[in-house]
Order: sequence, then C-alpha cells, then structure tokens
Amino acid sequence: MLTLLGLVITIVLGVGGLKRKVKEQIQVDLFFDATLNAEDIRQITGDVRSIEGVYRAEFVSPERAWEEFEKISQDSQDSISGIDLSLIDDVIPIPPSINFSPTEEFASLEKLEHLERELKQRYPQLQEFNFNRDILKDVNLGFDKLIYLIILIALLLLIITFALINNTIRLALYSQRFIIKTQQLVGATSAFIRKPFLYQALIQGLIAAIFAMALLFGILYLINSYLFDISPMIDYVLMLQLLGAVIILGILICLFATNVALGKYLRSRLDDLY
Amino acid sequence: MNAQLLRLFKGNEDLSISCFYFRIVEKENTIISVDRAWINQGEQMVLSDVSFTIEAGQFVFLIGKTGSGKSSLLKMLYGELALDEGEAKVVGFDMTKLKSRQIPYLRRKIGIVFQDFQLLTDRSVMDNLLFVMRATGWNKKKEMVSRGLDVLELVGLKESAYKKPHQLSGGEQQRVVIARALLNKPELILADEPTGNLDPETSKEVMKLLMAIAMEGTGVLMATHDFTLFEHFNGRVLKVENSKVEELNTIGTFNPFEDGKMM
Repeated sequence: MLTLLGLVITIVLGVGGLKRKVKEQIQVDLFFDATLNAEDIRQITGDVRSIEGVYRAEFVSPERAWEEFEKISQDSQDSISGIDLSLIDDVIPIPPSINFSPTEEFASLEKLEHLERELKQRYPQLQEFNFNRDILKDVNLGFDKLIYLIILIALLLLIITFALINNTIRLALYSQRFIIKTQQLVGATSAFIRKPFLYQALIQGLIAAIFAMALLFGILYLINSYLFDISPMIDYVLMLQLLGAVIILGILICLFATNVALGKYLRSRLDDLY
Repeated sequence: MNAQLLRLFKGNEDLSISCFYFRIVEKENTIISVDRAWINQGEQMVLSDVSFTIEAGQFVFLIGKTGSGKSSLLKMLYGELALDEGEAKVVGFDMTKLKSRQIPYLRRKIGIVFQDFQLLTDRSVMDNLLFVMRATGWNKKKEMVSRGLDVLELVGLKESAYKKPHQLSGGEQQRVVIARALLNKPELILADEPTGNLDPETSKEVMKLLMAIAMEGTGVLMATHDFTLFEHFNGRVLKVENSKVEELNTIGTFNPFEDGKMM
C-alpha cells in the first residue's frame, strides 16, 4: 500500500513537473505596425523584459524570423510542397518582432490577456499579441483535473492503508490483551504499557517504508527502461523528498494505528477480554 | 508510629489520653472507608447507600448471590468503576476525586486476587513475578529476584520458582497469584472468588494463607458466594442483597498458626 501511495505521489509530482515544463514552452510574439523600425522595437524589447510576468524577452529580426521559417518549412516539406519560398526583390515579408516567455504564474489565459491589454495600452503601435491559446487551455484545465483525480486516489489509498495497518496491529494486540490487562491491574502506568508497542510500531513503519520505496524505485526504473522515458518528469531532488515523506508517513500511520488500537484495550474491562 | 505511641502510653491510666490514642490509631488504620455510596453499571443501579469501613489487619467476607453486586463493589474499590454518589477512601485515595492517571498508584497499594486474573501461561512463576515488578517501577534485577523468592517463601512455593504455571496444581497456582499480590507490600488485598474453582481441601489451604496475611496487618476483603467458608474461618461478614450492604454477626474463632503445619 505504501508503494502504491508513493507511486501516486510520484505521478502527481511528475505531472506537476510536466505542467511546469510545458508552461515554460509557451511563447508570445509581439508584432508592431510599420511606424516603428527595428531599432525602436529593439528598445521596446528592453522595456518588455522588466514588465511583471515576463520571464524572458528577445528581439527577433526579420532575417532571423525568415531563417526559422525556412527551417520549419524544410522539416515539414510534405505539408507545404509546391509553395515557392524564394524572396521577391530580396525583401523578407516578416516584420521585426519581440518574442517573450511568460513566467509560470502568468502562463494562463486570463493573465496573458491582461498582459495583452497592458502592453497595447503602453504601446499603441502593438498590432498583434500572438500565442497558442489551445495549448494553454489544455495545460491549465487538463493537467489540473488530472492532478485532482490523482490526489483523490491518493486520499483513498491513504484511508485504505490506514485501515489495513490498523487491522493488522489490532490482531497483534488482541494476542497480547492479557499481558496488557495484567499490567493495568497490578498498577503499570499507561505510558509504560504503550512504550514497547509504540517502539515496535516505529520500527515496523520504518522497515515497511524502506521496502515500499525500494519497490517504487524498482517500478520507476522498469517503466523508464522498458516502457517510455519518464526522466523529463522526474526531479531527483523531489524524489529524495518523496523518500523522506513516505518514510515519515509509514511511521506515522503505524504509530497512530497502534495508539488507537492500544487505547481500545486499555479502556476495556477484564470481562470483555474473554 | 503505632509502636512508638504504645510505648509512650503504656501504663498510663489517664482514660482521656487512652481514648485519644485509640482514635489516632483507628484513623491511621482505616484502609477502606465507604460512606453512602451509590454504584451504577452503565445506566443500571447496582448498589445504593453503601457504608462500611475496613481496618488494617481485618479479614472481611463479602457475600451474596451471583449478580448481587459484589464484583461491582470490588471494581469501584480498585478504580475500574466510578463512584456515582457518596464518598469512599481506599488506601488513602479519595475515590470521588480520583483521576485516571492516579489509578496505577492506587493499584500498587492493593493486591488483586481474582479468579479470572490468572498467571501468564507463557512464562515461569518467577518471570510472572518479575513482569509485575517491572511494570510497577522496579528495575534492579537482584532486588527483584530476591523479593520474588521472599513472597514465594511466604506462600510455601520457593522451590517452584522456575516452573511454568501448567506444571502447578490449581491450589499452587492460586498461591502464586497471592504471592504476586504481595510483591509491593500492599495495604489491602481484594480477592474475588479466589477459591471458586478449587476443591474443598485446597480451598482451606488458600483460606489459611489469606487469613495469615490479614493477621500480619494487611486488610483482606474477599468476595465469595461460598457461605460455608465463614462458618469455618473467622472474619467480619458483609452481605450484599437487594442493592444494599449490611454487616452480619458470625461466631467463629480460627487461628491459622494454631492448626499445625499450614502448607
């Protein structure tokens, strides 16, 4: 159960990481009208860099834009076969532009639309504020729905894990109920009675968590080696944090379940044990 | 302190001083004092308006039919059942103000000998005693073993220290249970049907032991539905009937040390 829980947490973290990477790929192109020349636009690029919500901004000259256009055209020759890419009078039809990437926080439809309004107000010559709206919708809605679903699954798994561990511990305590009762009747304090059981729970939780993480890493390794490359989704620092979290979770669940079960036997009467 | 007071007033014929001495001794020697107590088990009233006292060194039978409330009274005395009304003081603890964290300390002054509170069968007699001592704060192994052997000698079972319970007879097991109850030098022994599953001859042996313990100064309150016991053994008798407790007069003089060898 702890392995499954760890797997679910890995998926949540992975999806979160993927979402972040996709957001970082969002790019916006700014096109201005003909009243501004390349120098003016280059200057505006510097201003745009300092605006809140802009992660990276660079000036794209017509030559550079044409080079990239030719590259894309060569890569997808079948789709645009028959189109003549030679320049007329050596004039590049693409105007100078600014290309920028928004910060993760601003990589949403509303925030970019707000940024568009702000830039158009500041620069009335701004004609087009271009970005791929469809990708943005998918990233924000689709990924979020997936994460909520996975978190729900994680919560259900947590409840099931707790119930399973609790039942196992209650069975173990059932076999010790006379020992617990004897200690109570002769005058042992509650803390004295609980101590060895809680210590055992701590050790068992630690061992279970280590096994769970070993199994989890094994599964991830197999997926990566034989199914598909998941390395873009995996942040190794986060994985170490996950290891710590599963260990702590395993120990806490065992301790809590033991404490709850112990409470039941400490409160029971001598007659109830038979 | 009692011995010192005795030496102080020995030979003094002043009646008022003698009476004063008697009252001091009486107050110190009271180990159970119950005054107009009501005990409920859940929502059902079990005992009402119960009043009695027990002094150190007294042997008291608690008799009554099965289901009359004897066990409920004992449970109240060792803190398992709460007192609903009235007052009760047991070995210095006020039962009306008793907090759950104080219950272990109350029980360390009481030795419990119950028919269904038997020895742990997976360990030897000595290990059973060591287990109890560890649970009640002992930690020096030598002292624990020494005390264990002492109490076993008191009940005549020193040579059985390393036997397992199943290797002992019913009577011997019950004597070990009594030894276990004596480990922390209790002021009071609470016994609930200690001879319940024993034959008459073995029951007599156990009774002699309990009476001897009382004569040494520990108070003993023993619940039983065997009415014949107090015909042969001397002690006060409290009868539980119709949710009330009343004291009966009995005639009988018995001294366990006069009856020859005890074991």
